[in-house]
Amino acid sequence: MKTSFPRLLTATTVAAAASLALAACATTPQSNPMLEQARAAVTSAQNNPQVAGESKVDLTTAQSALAQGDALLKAGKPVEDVNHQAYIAERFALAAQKGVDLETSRKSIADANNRRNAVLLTAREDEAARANQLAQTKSQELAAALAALQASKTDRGLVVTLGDVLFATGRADLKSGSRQTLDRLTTFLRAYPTRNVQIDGYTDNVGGDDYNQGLSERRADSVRDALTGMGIANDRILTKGLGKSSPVGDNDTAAGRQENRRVEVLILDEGAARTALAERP
Amino acid sequence: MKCIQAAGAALIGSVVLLGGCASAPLAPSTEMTKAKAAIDQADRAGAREYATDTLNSSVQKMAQGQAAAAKGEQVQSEQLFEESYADAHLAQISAQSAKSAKDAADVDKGIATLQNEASRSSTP
Repeated sequence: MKTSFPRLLTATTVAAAASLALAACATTPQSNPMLEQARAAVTSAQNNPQVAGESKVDLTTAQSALAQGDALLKAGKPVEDVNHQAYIAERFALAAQKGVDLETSRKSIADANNRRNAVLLTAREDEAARANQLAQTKSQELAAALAALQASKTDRGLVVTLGDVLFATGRADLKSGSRQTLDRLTTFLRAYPTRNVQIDGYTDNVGGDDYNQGLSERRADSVRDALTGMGIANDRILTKGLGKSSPVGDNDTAAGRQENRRVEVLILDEGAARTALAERP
Repeated sequence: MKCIQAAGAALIGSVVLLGGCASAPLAPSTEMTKAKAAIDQADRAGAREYATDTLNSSVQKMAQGQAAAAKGEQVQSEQLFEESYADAHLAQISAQSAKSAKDAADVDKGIATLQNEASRSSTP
């Protein structure tokens, strides 16, 4: 007797468990593969934070169809009806995702002009910076070249003066001491091929006008010949004889007269070059 | 001869009668009209090229729905029209999305070319 009671209890327990299990089988709806596939698609669309606007409408349609499918399945309705809702849910969930892609490329196209302009702006800025840098470098180089030339700034522009000491008295041929000044001039003219020069010859007031005029011209020509001899093109050089006009020193003193016997090489501005040379007879 | 004709007529009559008894063909439903319009829209959006399978499925479901409607199967035909609509809607958006992506890629290519030219011309 002692052993039969627990045995009976065990049998009852097993029976109860079995009936419970059966009951569970009867009421728990079977899972529907199409519905699960739709659920995956809907969940994926739900988790996409970019779903908005028309895509949001599609997602809502998908969610509603999925809910109907779940309800039909739970109510034990025909599998065709569940599958139908699953189909609708999946298609609209996919449409919602495609809608996001569509919106992304539309925005990208709409933004094309801005992006194009940004590229162009950057290019222009780079160009300007480079041009500025180049201009700065050139201006520094020019300043250095002019400094090396030892030209002085005058009202007429930059002038390199070859003084009387470079010519023998009453002669037009250059002394060898002028070589250094001419070398500097040549170097400059080679480096700046668009800069031309005007060579003006002057004398003191000793002697007749014709003599001084001729002497001043010959002195200017002599400097020109020296430059062309060093490879500077003849058409870059304009010569003028100005005789005893425009003295810079006092002709009553020996020192003043020496100052007046000179050749001035005027470095022409780039713009002025052509005009000045066009005046050449 | 007359006998055969009469029998034939009777047979046809009975088939028609039987068919009529089983179900009457349904009038075009709003679901069908909606789905047809969506198919047209998808077609115009380029779905034939860009969403071929989805559009085909939509057209197929439309035909099945019409066949079901002809047999008077209302529930089934409406479900098929709804599915046809869902397919057409997806086909339309897919086609628009694919075309737009293509356009966007072209635009990107153009900008990349511009960028290349800009950086090339900026290199002394």
